[in-house]
Amino acid sequence: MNEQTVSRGEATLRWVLMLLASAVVLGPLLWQLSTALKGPGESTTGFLSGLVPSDPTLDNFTTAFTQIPLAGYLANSAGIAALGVTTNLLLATLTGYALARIPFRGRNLYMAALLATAALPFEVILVSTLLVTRNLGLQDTLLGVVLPQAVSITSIFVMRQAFRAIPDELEEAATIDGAGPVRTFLGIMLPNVKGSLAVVTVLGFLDSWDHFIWPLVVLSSPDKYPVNVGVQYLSGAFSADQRVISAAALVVIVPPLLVYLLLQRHVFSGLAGGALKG
Amino acid sequence: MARRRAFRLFTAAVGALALAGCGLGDGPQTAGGVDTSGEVKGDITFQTLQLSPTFDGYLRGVIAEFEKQHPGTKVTWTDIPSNSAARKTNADAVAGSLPDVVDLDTGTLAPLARKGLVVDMGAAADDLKAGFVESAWKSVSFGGSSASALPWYLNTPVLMKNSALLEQAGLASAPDPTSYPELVEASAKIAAATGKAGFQPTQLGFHTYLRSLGVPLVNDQGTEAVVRTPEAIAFVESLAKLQKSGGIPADAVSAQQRGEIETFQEGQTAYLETGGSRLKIIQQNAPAVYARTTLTKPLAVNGKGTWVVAHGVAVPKASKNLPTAVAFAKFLTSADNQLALAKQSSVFPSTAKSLEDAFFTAEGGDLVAQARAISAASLKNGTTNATPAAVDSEFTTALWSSVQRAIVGEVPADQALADAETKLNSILKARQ
Repeated sequence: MNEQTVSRGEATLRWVLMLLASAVVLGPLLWQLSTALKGPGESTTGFLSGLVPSDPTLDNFTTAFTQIPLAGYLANSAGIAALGVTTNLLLATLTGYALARIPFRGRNLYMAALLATAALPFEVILVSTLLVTRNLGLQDTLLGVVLPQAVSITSIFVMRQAFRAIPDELEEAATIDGAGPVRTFLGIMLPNVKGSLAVVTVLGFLDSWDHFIWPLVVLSSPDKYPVNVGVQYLSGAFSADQRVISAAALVVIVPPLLVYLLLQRHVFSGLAGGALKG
Repeated sequence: MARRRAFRLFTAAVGALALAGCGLGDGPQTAGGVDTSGEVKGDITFQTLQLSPTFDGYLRGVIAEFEKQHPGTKVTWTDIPSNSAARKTNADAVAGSLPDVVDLDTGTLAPLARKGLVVDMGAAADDLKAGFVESAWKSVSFGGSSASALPWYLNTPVLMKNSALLEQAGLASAPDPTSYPELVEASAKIAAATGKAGFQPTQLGFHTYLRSLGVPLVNDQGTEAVVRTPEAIAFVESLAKLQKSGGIPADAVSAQQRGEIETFQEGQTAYLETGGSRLKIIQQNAPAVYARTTLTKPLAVNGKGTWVVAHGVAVPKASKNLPTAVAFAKFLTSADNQLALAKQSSVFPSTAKSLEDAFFTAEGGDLVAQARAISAASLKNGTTNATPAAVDSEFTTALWSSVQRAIVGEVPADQALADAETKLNSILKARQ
C-alpha cells in the first residue's frame, strides 16, 4: 500500500492499535524488569506503583545466581534443549516426508492416529511413561528426560505440510535427471523446506525449554534439574523475594528469545507457508 | 481449567493403578503390618520438600550425626521443590520409586496412607507417641492409634493487622476480633469507612474457618461430610453480605484467586491470619506495609481452637531397608533435632519437650519473635485443631467451589452447603 493513500485518521488509528498491542505484550515484561531492578527497600506490590525503580540495582541478578545454582540449571536446560531440537528435526523431517510424499497403505490412518495422540494431555500418560522409562533404566538421565518428547506431533505436521507444498514436477525432474530417492531428498526436497525446519527448531527448543512436570518426575538428583524446575527453589514457604524471582525469570527467557531472533527471518518464511520461492 | 481437569484425570489414574496393584515396588505392598525390626545398617535415601538451600547445613549435620551413631549406614539426601511435589510423589508411589524416608505435607500423605503404602508409625514408634503435641500426632493419624508418619515441623497462625488501615477505619483502639464472625463484623466496618477490604477468604483457609466455628467437616470415621450446620450457614451468609459491601477484595472469590498475602501486602486488606513464617516474605516485598503490621492471637484460639499444619516423615512400605529408614525417621523427629531446626527457622517443633525451651517464650522483640511466642503458646496450650485426614486438597477444593457461588450471591448459603455435602459425600464414598 502506498503511504499517501493512508488518511491521517487511519494512520493515527493504526498507531493507537499498535501501541495497545505492544503494551499488552510488553507491559508485563517491563513490570517484571522493573521488579528485578528494585532495591531491597522498595515495595514490589501494587498495580503500576513505582514502575521506575527509585533505587535500581543489579544485585538481584547476582543473588539469583548465588542463592541457587542457576548457571548449572541453565546448562542442564541447554543440554536437554540441544538434544530435543536434534531429535525433533531428525524425526519430524523423516516422518513428515514419508507422510507427505511416500504413498503407503494406511498412511491416512497413521496420520490420524498421530494427531489423536496430540489431544491427550501429558498428565494422563505420565505414569505409564514413567514406568517405561524406569524399566529402560533411564530414570534420572538426560536421555530419559528427552526421549518421551523426542518429537512433537506439531513438528511432524509442520514438516508434512511443507513437503506436500513442493510440486510433483520438481521431484519428477530430479528423477529424470537420474537422482535416486536419497539424493532427491537431500538435494531437492530439504533445501525447499528451510523455513519449516526453522519453525521446527524453534518449536522443539521451546518444547524442551518449557517442560516442567516430566523432568521433575523423572529426575531424582536436583543437580540435574532444568532451569524451569530449579527456579522453583527461589519461591518457598520461608522466603519468596519477588525481586530475585523476577531476575531469575528474566534470565530464563533469554535463551528462547535468542533462538527465536536468530531464526526469525526463516521462521516467517516458514509460517507464510510458501517455502518454495516463486 | 483444562489443566485442572487433566490433573484430576491424572490423580484418578494414579488411584486406579495403585488399587489394581500395578506398582512395580519390589518390597511387600500389603495393607497389613510390616516388620520394621532388624539391624540398622546400609544405605537409605531421604527426600525433603524445599528445605534446600536454606537448611543444607542443618540437614547435613543431622545426617552426619546419624551415620556416626550407626556405623555402616549411609543416608543420601535429595530435596525437591514443594510446588508439584504431590504429582511427583503420586507418580513415584505407582512406579515404586519412592525414597526410603520422605518428608510430606499431610495433604500429599493422606492418599498414600489410604492405600496402605506407608509404614504405620503408631505401631513402629508406639513409645514415642506421648512425646508429640497431640494435634500434631492427630494430623498424621488415620483413626485409632495408627499414624501414617512421624510428625515433623508444624505451622500455626497469628492474626496480622494493618494498623494504618485500622486507624483510618477508626478501629485503632477497638478490641481485636477473636473469632471469624467478629472478623466479618470488623471487616464490614472497615469497608464502610475506608473502602478497603477486611480480609480475603481463601480455598485453602475456608475449612479452617468452619473448624474454628465448631463445624466438624466430617464424621468421626471420615466417611460422611458434615458441613451444613447452622453455624456454617450463618457464616457463609455473613460472607455473602460482606462481599456485597466490598469487605472482601474485589474478584478475590469469583476470579482466579490472587494470594491473600499479596492483597495484604498491597494494603488492600486489614487482617491476615497466617503463619509467622510469612512475615519475612511481607517484609521483603512490602516494607511499608510491614512497618505498620501488628500481631495478635489467632482467631478462635480461646474458643474452638485454631489450625495447625504438620509435615510428616513417612517410610514407604516398599523400602528395602525398613529398620534403617524407621530409625532415621525417629532420629530426625527427635526433640533435640526438632528444637535445633526451629531455632534456625520460623517453624515449630512437634515434640512437646522442645516447646518448653525459653526460645519460644521470649517477650518483646521484633514481629518474628512476637509471632513465635503467640504461636508456640497455642501449641503448648493445646488450642490447635488437627485437620481431619479426610479433609485433603480434593475435599477443600470441592467445598470451596460450592461455597464460592454462595459468597458471590449466585445461590443461597443453605443450598451451597447442601450441594457441597452431596459432592463431598460422593468423594468420600469413592474412597471406601
